[in-house]
Amino acid sequence: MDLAAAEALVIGLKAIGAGLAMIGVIGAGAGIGILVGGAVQGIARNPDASGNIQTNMILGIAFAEAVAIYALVVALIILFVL
Amino acid sequence: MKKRYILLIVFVALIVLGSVINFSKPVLPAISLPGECYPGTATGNPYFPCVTNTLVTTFVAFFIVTIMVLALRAKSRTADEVPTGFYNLFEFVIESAYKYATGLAGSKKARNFFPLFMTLILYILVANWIELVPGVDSVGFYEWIPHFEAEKAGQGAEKLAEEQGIHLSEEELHEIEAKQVIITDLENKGALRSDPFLLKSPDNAVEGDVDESDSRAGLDPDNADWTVVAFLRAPATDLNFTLAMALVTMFLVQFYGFKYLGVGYLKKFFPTDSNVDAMAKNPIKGIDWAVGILELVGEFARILSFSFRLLGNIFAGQILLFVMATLVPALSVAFFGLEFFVGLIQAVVFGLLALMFMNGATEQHGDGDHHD
Repeated sequence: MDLAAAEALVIGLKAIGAGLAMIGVIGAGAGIGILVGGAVQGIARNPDASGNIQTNMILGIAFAEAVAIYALVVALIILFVL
Repeated sequence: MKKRYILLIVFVALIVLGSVINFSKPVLPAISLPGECYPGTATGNPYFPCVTNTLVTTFVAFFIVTIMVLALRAKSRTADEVPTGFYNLFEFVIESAYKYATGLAGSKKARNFFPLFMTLILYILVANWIELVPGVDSVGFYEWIPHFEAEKAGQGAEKLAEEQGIHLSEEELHEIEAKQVIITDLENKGALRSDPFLLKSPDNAVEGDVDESDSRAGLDPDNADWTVVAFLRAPATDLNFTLAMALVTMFLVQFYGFKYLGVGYLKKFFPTDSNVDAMAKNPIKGIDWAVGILELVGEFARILSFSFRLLGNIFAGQILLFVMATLVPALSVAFFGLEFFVGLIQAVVFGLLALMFMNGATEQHGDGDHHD
């Protein structure tokens, strides 16, 4: 096939690759939801500890989100560097 | 009218004005993972290729933090009993951070841990928020995309022509570069390929060189779009910056580990306490060795984790801002708000994690640290 069609194919495949790479963020969404659910229950049981719980919740969310960010970085590398 | 109402009205008017004035299609700035070089600063050194826009912004952020801190320190010498304004806010931030650090690590250790903790928070916060200043990421070199992509791929038509010893005029160079792009639409910007045959003039072209049925032949060079390469770019979008922060942090974690526990720090990774005698009494202790190896691997994984968490958040946020500002300028204010909080949270998380790792490295084995 001529060069233009081949290069259009490459662009299309890159897009599919980036889309597939982002499927992994489902785990992060589920994880953060469970985390915040636990935190909210903890606050409901013991409102005085809400500052402490909130701090630890934000920390845990950062960890869980980091994994989603790894997937995003891979997708961006596929799109813009490869 | 009170000053704050006037400010509010001016603020809202500026937002409305900014979203309504849109005479031509906004330009999408150039997106690339490595920092973009300033032209003419290339050095031959492979470890320091050129001066990048992220490097310049790193120094700008450094000067901002230094000047702010020195000014506040000068003010603290002559302050009144009751602080006001920005000094008050800064004092609140520092005191609550110090209280948190002492609550976590104890007051003696916190004196050692607090400088790195606060420096990371302040520096990364300023570096992240610089992205929101008008002019950063949006003002820069105005580049024509085919020429820009060609130069980036190292296949600029000028360089190729020089290599092949052909002299071409400006129009011919532009024509060639336009033909090198497959589709000139901004959305479908294609990768660049060099076609040496395009450099041959029709006089010395061989039969069958140029395929007239090639769909790229005859593309209009004037239709190609333009892009902007920023003068200043948020430092955290460059892996060099985040990796440097992560390396410094993990080096200091190991340093404090050795400083507080001596050679006993290595027992975390190679638990010589669980030797054959202890295992004879309690065979489960054999697993301590596997845990030690995992901890060692985890120390290196933390470097990657630190750098990619910050890089991913800020780089993806930058791309989001670019795309939103280009597609829907009126709604992009909401995304600036999002970037504001993301920058703040990522800076605080970086510092908090550094503090927790330092604390965990200096605790005796079995004190119940289960971070990360």
